[in-house]
Amino acid sequence: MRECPDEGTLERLFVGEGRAAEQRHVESCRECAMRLRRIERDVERIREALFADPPRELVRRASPARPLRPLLGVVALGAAAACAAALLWVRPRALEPTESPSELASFVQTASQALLLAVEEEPDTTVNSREEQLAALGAAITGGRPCTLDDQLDAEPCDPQDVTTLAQGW
Amino acid sequence: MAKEVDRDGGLKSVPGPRSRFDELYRAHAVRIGRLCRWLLSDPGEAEDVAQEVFLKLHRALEEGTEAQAWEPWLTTVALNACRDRRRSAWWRRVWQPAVELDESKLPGLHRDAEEELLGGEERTRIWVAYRALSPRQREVFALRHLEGWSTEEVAQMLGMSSGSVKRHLHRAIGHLRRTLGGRA
Repeated sequence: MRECPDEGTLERLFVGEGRAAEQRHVESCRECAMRLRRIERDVERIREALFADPPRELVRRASPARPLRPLLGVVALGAAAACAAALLWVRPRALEPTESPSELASFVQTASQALLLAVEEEPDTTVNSREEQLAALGAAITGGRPCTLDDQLDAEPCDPQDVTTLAQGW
Repeated sequence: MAKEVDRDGGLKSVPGPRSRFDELYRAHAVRIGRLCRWLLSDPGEAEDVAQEVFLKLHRALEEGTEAQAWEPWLTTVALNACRDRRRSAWWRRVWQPAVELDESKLPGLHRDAEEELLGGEERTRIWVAYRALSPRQREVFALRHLEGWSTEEVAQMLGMSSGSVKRHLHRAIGHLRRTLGGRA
């Protein structure tokens, strides 16, 4: 090996790494041996400096009362912006009607009938009318037709509602 | 290798836990404190962790733990305690690498030899460079070149291969020498 190794290779040899050929070269080359000794001296200087107390300015800078990491602030700000964007994206979607227009029209019609029925009822039948109203609304929600007094004579199927359960649900 | 006592602490008459603790504390307190200071940037934190290490030693002695050699035991406990402290959440939140290596704000590299001779500026430069090393490089350099353990002992204490220790050491030395102007 004719060419002398670079500093990196010499440092590798210094820590015990490196190839046998490089090691042999350093042992035979006076210049490389001197360079290796310089690395040893540098490490000794570093060692002496680190055995002394750290400089005062470094200790001051290491005070725990320092402000938060700037990176943390950026991360927090980013998370807040992401939350706000998610809210803006989710909310309009939640308000969008899920039913088709015909279903909606049918619901409105059934609900109106139920309300009209309630208005036409006599005061002494308030409880019944309220139950019927609830049943009608319940049927409108589930898509069926509420049972009425006429249904006792009719053969058409109706949707009997458990009024109590519905009322509790509301 | 800066060691105040031999590895078994010279405790041949099997003293009680209390006297054994005192002896080990006297023998290793300075060394463990220094090691913690090399591994953590804040001297206050280093002092806390060193006390933590000796509290663990006290507990171990009370429980009748028998270590073959207390010196590596204490060193490993100190390494783990420093690592835990660095990893803890509040540490991460409040702390940042103590000093960024900003070459432009440091004294010039090319000065007279007399000035260079471990003056205050050089010491600052070396400490700044040392703190800019990765935690692993710091551990490896401190154990190998400051504490004087062999490469194999360092590898065992850190749970790494000897090759990894040498690679970390090589990078650490390269970085530190650059700050001295000793490497092109």
